[in-house]
Amino acid sequence: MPRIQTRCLGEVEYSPEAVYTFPIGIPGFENEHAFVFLERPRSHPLMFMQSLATPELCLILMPILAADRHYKLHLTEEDLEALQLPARKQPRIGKDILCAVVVCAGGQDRPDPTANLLAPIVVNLKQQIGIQVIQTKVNYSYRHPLIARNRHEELALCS
Amino acid sequence: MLVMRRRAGESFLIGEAVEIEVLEICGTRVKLGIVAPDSILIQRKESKLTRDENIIAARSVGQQNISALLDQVAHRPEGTPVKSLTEEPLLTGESNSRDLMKKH
Repeated sequence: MPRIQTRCLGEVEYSPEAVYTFPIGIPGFENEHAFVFLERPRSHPLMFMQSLATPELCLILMPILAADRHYKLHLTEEDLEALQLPARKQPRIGKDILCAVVVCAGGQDRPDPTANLLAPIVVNLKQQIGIQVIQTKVNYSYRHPLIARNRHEELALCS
Repeated sequence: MLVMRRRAGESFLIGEAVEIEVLEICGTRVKLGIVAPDSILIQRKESKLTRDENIIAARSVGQQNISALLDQVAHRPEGTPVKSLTEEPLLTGESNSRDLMKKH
């Protein structure tokens, strides 16, 4: 069983069958073509999208419906073709495809965690091919706050 | 913001070297043709936003930030339990560290 160094979880073993191919990479990381998706029970529902080639590259993902339970995914014909999915048919999330958003964990660049709802990572579970889909028909935020603002206000009131 | 009206077949220039032509208008969509030097990167705005977000997100992945994120997101008290979106295991094969990966 091959092993990789990961950004968050130390060294892990993985099965070659669990490798997902991103033929054109993702924006900003166009040369990264192979990823594995790692989960930890404690981190549920977050997932770690770890690059095979670059140990330092790991993105935190969240299932799209966890970020927005009413999310409407629309794949264009080009998206369907890139994912090797049947034409003119929207795939079912969770059955045909994995659909998850990239989470910015917060930190110096940005204090509160956000998710990019504009461009979810979509993976064909059968063919194990993935792309980052940029949604053009709908107006989703690329910096969707993951913590409700009113919670902050409550906290401010309490303090 | 400069606003300019153009019909299909008409074009305009940005500086000396960039020409943008309105090729076709169909409903709410407009097809543009762009002539520009190779040194000028042309990309959809959403692609640029997503690229920048991906880079910031990758940079944000540190142990400390993850712990904070887990406290805020994974175990948020008001959140309803979230079903995993995959019904098939994402990872097959066993791991040495058992708590690392969970099978569905």
